[in-house]
Amino acid sequence: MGASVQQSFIWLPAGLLPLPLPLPLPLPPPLLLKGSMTFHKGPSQRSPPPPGYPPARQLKRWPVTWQSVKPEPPGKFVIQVFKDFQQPFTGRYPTSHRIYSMPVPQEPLRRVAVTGGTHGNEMCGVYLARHWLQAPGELQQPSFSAVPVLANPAAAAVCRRHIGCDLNRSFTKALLTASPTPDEPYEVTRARELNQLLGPKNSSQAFDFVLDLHNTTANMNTCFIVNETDLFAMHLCHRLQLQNSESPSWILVYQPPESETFSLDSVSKHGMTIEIGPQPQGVLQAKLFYRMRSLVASTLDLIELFNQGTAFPAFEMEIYRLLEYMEFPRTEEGDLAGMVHPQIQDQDFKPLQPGTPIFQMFSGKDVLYEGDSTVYPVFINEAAYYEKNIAFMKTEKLTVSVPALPVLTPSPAH
Amino acid sequence: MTEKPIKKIAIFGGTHGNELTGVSLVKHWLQDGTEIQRTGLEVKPFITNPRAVKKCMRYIDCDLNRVFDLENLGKKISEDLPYEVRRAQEINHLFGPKDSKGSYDIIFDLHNTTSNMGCTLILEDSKNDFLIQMFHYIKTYLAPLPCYVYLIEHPSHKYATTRSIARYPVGIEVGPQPQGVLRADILDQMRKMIKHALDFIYHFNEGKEFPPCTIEAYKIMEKVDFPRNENGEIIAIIHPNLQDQDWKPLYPGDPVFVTLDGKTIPLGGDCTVYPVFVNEAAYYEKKEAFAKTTKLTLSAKSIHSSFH
Ligand SMILES: [Zn+2]
Repeated sequence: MGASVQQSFIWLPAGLLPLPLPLPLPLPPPLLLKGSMTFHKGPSQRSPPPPGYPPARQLKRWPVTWQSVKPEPPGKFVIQVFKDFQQPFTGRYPTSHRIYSMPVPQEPLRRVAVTGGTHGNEMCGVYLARHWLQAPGELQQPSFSAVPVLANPAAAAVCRRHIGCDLNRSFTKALLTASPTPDEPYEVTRARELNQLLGPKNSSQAFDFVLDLHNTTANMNTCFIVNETDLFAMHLCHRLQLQNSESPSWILVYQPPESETFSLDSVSKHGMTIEIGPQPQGVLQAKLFYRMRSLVASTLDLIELFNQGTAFPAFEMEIYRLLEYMEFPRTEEGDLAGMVHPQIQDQDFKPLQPGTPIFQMFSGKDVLYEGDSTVYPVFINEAAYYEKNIAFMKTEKLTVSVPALPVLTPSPAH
Repeated sequence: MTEKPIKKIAIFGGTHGNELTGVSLVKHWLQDGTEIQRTGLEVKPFITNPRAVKKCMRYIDCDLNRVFDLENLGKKISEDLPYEVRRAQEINHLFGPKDSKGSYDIIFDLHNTTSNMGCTLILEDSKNDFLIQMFHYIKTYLAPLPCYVYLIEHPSHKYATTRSIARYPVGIEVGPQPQGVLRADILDQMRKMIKHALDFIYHFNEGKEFPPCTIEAYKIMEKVDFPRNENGEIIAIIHPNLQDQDWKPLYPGDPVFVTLDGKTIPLGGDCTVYPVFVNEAAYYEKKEAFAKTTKLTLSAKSIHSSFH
């Protein structure tokens, strides 16, 4: 089929892509470190964590490890920020509160990578990575040049999420340090290669920053996925959120703070994932492509600003933190018995009250949400999560106070 | 004109294993078929590509919806044959044989597209009074929800569709829905299309006379590939102005593609076209960015069943 194809088009010169300029923010006097990150918590209830941390592919429910923190009115706990790897400052909160330790950059970030095609059918990253591999000029900044990486070339070649297993769940210590075997999944081998290229994970030789590009079929607009202990990334996504004000953008914390990280952007010292949707798998939509490209440019601009000694002052922002998965209703044979209810379809990040219908059964019956508190669903009806039996993920909304970053002294001053 | 009453109907789902609306409806009807039963009719729901459904992929070896030509259907069975060709022969045995008296009267084949095509009925023969009457009925009862008729009658494009083994083949295509996703709104629309189609057949068998009618249809002209470089790599993508604009008029000079460097590529030629299957995921590998159609009016004579 499709024998006659017309290609008689005229090539018109047109404007170049609009790449946003770095947004100069009003700068209050720079705060020094030893600040605290305060979380105002809602009264949500969570189930106890399973022992240990199962391999990502067998994950059924999120292991919620941070709930040992007792919510106290108004419910606060502290993330300690400190220089280097010294003893954390315990602050004014009782020791029952969780204390996180995390490094902040003391030097300019010079080794930066932008990875696309980690999932081979998420086309914005696939096309951007391929484009930059041929024309990397767009990724150059005065103080560094970001390296483009097509993370899962085999999956991208056949336009599938993965070949053997999910690459973005394969950066665990166990998988990265296991001896290679001939029958291991392709992605496990590839994760080790990427760990060599961009890591090794948790080492001083690791890249300073990895920006990983994804698409979702869910209506999540622009979503920045960060590790809440990565103060540098928290600053970046806050600034990006301010710059990207014409379309909604959200900040999602996917990783429980004390669990082992497993995603590609965890091999570097700092990292972040940009998730843009809705876009079907295997489809490239121009608007989303441009938005992703602009966001990458803005991210690199912000890293450059930091490298040049720009202050990143303290701020407060809203984040959404993952609580647990909601599974699809299934028949005894394992087939779907219903689908995401039209009332919550496309309502990612909107409040979901107890009693709201969440599933519509094929019989016509509705299933209501039975929680006892308002949650914020995300990744609603994401294609890739059917095989994991996840209909959506519940999150809680929090306001966090994020302390300032240290201000780098411009290099010539040394 | 009089036509024989309809006896045997099949509803196919999962011809493409990652188009979940048909898969889910057919699986549901296999459990509880009450809503598709009509007095005097045998209505059989059927999963056509179970292995692709299980893996949630379009197909295992090749596109099942393109192999129902007499050559493939006549091939000697062997292990080397693609899975879908072997499966096509089984389906032809169960519901055909193609072009024979024993074949099913009507096959509805349920599909989804990632394109913004809404409810679409696919017609293979512009002279088929019975189907034009049926489509007219479905369109009338779906209103105000729009329902488009896509005519794929073309001298050089032969589809060899799964449904083509029936006397009356009907393609049903609803979108936009990503592959591997099931949306309640899309499922509801497809379910209504089937309901009205079965109601029409029931009334026809009852002896109701359907007066002459006309419908608007969009006939395929040609398929347009993405602009590519010497290595066959796509260098321009669907322009934002064209995305989701299926069935809307596209005039010469209107933007069609945009290169990765931001250059706009407009529609050439000198005639208005109506694009369909704009940015359909499954057609990247078929080298089809969209298809151009032309709008026309089809008319059908009055029909009634010969039974009464
Ligand atoms: Zn992804």
